Order: sequence, then C-alpha cells, then structure tokens
Amino acid sequence: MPSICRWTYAALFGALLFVSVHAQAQALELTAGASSLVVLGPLSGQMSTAIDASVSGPVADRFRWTAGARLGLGAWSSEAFGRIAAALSFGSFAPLAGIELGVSARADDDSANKLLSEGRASSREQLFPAYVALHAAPLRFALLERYRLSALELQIGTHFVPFGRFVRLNVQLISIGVVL
Amino acid sequence: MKALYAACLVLSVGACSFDVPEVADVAAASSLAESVRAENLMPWVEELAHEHLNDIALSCDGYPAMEMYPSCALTSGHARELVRRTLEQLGFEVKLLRHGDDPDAPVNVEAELPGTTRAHEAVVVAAHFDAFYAGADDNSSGVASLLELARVAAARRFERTLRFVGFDLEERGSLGSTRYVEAGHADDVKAAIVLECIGFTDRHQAAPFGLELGEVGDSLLIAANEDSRSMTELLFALNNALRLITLRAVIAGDDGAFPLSGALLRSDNGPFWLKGLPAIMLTDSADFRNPHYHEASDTPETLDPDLLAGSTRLVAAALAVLAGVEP
Repeated sequence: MPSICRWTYAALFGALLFVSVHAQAQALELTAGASSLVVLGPLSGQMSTAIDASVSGPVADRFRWTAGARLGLGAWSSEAFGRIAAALSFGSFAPLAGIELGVSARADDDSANKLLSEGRASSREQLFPAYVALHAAPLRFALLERYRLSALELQIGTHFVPFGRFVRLNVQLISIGVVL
Repeated sequence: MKALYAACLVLSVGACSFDVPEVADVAAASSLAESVRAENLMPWVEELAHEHLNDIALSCDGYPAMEMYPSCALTSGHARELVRRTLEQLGFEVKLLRHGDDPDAPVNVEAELPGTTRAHEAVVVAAHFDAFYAGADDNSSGVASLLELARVAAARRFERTLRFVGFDLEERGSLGSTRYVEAGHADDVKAAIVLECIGFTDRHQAAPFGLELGEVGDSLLIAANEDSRSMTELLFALNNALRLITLRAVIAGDDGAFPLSGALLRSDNGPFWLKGLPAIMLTDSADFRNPHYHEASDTPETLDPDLLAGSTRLVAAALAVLAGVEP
C-alpha cells in the first residue's frame, strides 16, 4: 500500500474517532459537495475535480471544527482534512474562514505528456503528503434553520515539504449541509 | 530552453540587488579570459549547424507538436559525435554516458580535467547539443563556447576537477541532464555553469511584467537561485573588472523550485537546482529576444559573434576562480 494511502486512512480514522467522541454532545452538521483543485508545481499544473463529505460542529463560541474527505476523480487522488474556522452569522448569512490541515495524494501527476515528465517526477521526490491551507466560505447561508448552502468556497495552501513548491488552489463549487 | 511564461516570473524573481565581491586574483581570471580566441567560435557554430541540418530527426512519438515546440525537427546524433571528436582532439578522455535502455535514452558526452589538489570537487561547464533545425543560437552557441573553453582549459591545470558536459535531449524536457544528475554524476559538483543560447542580440528586448531586462537586447542574463547567488556575484565582479559584456541577473528565492519561478528550471540547470547543487544558467533570454527561437531560421548568420565571445571570456574568467587555475 502506498504510504500516501496509509496517511489518508489514518487521518480518516482519526477524524471519525474525533467525531464519535463529540457526536453525542453536539449538534453536528453533515455536508456534501463538489470541488475543483488546481495543483501548481514548478514544472506542472493540473486540475482535478472531487466530491467530498464532511462533518462539523461547534468547538467554541464562533468557531467550528470540520473533518472530512475528498475523493478526487483519478487514481490515488483521495485526501482527508481537518479544519478550524471562525464563523459569523448575520441573519441567514453565515460566512466562515479558517485553516485546514490535511493529507493529499492529489499533487501526483498522472499526465501522459512525456515532455518534462522526468523533471516533474524529480520535483516531487521529496513531496510530503501533509498540507496546510487558508480556507474561506464567503457565500455560506443558513436556510430553514436545519440546512446550509455554500458556494465558491476558496482555499489556497501548500504542502509542508518542500514548503511552497506545490501550491493548492481549491474551489468548493457548492456544498449542501444539514444539521442533525 | 522552453518558453518562459511571462506571468509566472513576476513574483518569483527578486530585484537583482547583491554585493559584488572583490576578486583576489583578477589577473589569473583575465589571463584565462584572454586565452579565448573569438575567431574559433563562429566556425564551430557553423559546423554544428551544418551537422544538425544533415542529421536525421529523432522520433517525436508522444511529444506534442506546437508552434514554439517543433518536436519532430529535433536532432542530436551528429552534433554529439562532433563534440566527442573535438574534445578527444583536444586531448581529453571522453565518456559517452547512455542513461537507460529505452529508445528515448539520452547519451551525454563528458570530458574532464582532473584537479591537482581538490580533485574530489568538480566545476562543470555544460551545454546541450540537441537542437531544432540548425539550432545556431539554441544551442550551437553554447556548445561552441564549451568547446573553446575546453580548448583553453586543456593547456592549464586547476585545483578542482573541471568537467565539460554536453547534454543530450534538453529539448525533451532536460532529459539528459535529469538522468545525469539522478545517476549521481553531479554529486561532487561545487559549481555548474549551463550555457543556453548565448549568441543573439537585437535592438529590442521583451520581458515579462515585473522583470527588468532592459530595452535593448544586448545583454547576457544569469538565471540563479540562492544556492548559486555567490556564483552570480562572482560573475558580476569579474565582468566589472574585465568589462566584457552587459550582464543582468534574476535570482529566484531559495532553491527556485516554485510554481512562479518554474520557467527558470526548464533548462539543464533545473535538475541541479532540484538536488540543491549550485548552478547558474547563462542565456540571451532567447524567447524574449530572438524571433528565430525554435525556428528554421535560427542560423549562424543571425548571431552576434561579439556577445558569444564576451560570454565565453566571462565564463573562462569564472572558471579560473571557481576551479582555481594554477600559475
């Protein structure tokens, strides 16, 4: 099993454990959506889409935790993430902004283009799967008390090692949530 | 060198502000620079261009054919043989390094002058010998300079090992240099100078937004990263002392391997940078200046022999310091 998969599943297991510990005490929100990720490297640039699912809950006044996974539409392109975000509420308008940590295999390059293929591989040799990203959900709304709708959530981040060599630009196209 | 993507350079390259050091032994550097015979350079360019035009193009299966990348017009075999033969005639023991058994395997040419006191430390001069069409500027200019530098060096002794490398298949994504570095041939390298299109001047110079290359295309550009900043400073110091050419530099932060500075890795310096080895690329910024870049019109008569000669003298002076020329 590739090491990235072990990381991914370990993170997923951790997220589930975290959720199960807190589930009984909190009003949880389950969310599903779709996103597009652009990963830019020094010799590469690739875009992939993913479907995702996450669970979130309050962690303190005006802060929410989130744990989830994205399943990219490509081989070995899954990722797991956890997020802490500050939440505001202006009536039904409920934007979020925070920091996301995750593990991802989506910087792997499955391009069939032979040009620069060995250079691209060389640039990924030291790549560590963990990443950090700034996350913003400026168009998130609470609807009918129990439902959440968010569009065009933005995220920019990088893998920790080598820091800055690969940049992640993720756009959460849409997500729909329900409060349990 | 592939197209430098203008937008990608803007945020990646800091202003060229650094200290120009004093060079202790300018006389030795000057002596080696003056050993360069300008009249040798253009005949080598013409011979290399002739060999490219009379060679059979390599298979382009799997490679894109684009306006700036005529993948089916690439040749390398005849030029490799010319480089090998010339280096042997200069007295070097030449190695042909085939990297891999696949049909696309590059075959690099390597010749070295063992160092006298620090033989385990190498200084590399490299140029790729594969080319589209005649490839006068890209990269017969760099190869001609390498051959003249080898001729000059052959008559001297250096403290460090001086290694001349002709890289194959740079136009296939720096294949020759990538496999050369990955195979460990560069593990002992203390400094590498990559010659990449060094013979074209023009009245006009284009530049990506945010990068100052001047309005007249008469300069030589050094592409460096933090690992090779001191080499860049040395070249500026030598150029100031010897008044050879108009010199400019871009220095990418850290190892230079970032999305916004990725264009600077798209030549044979790239594999060195990715391994943390100090390397600079010298270039006339071909695709921002040369309308013949990757065109059938990239022929010897379009070159400026003065820039080619001045660039070669500058590298000779740098080698005197970097490799430690002996009296």
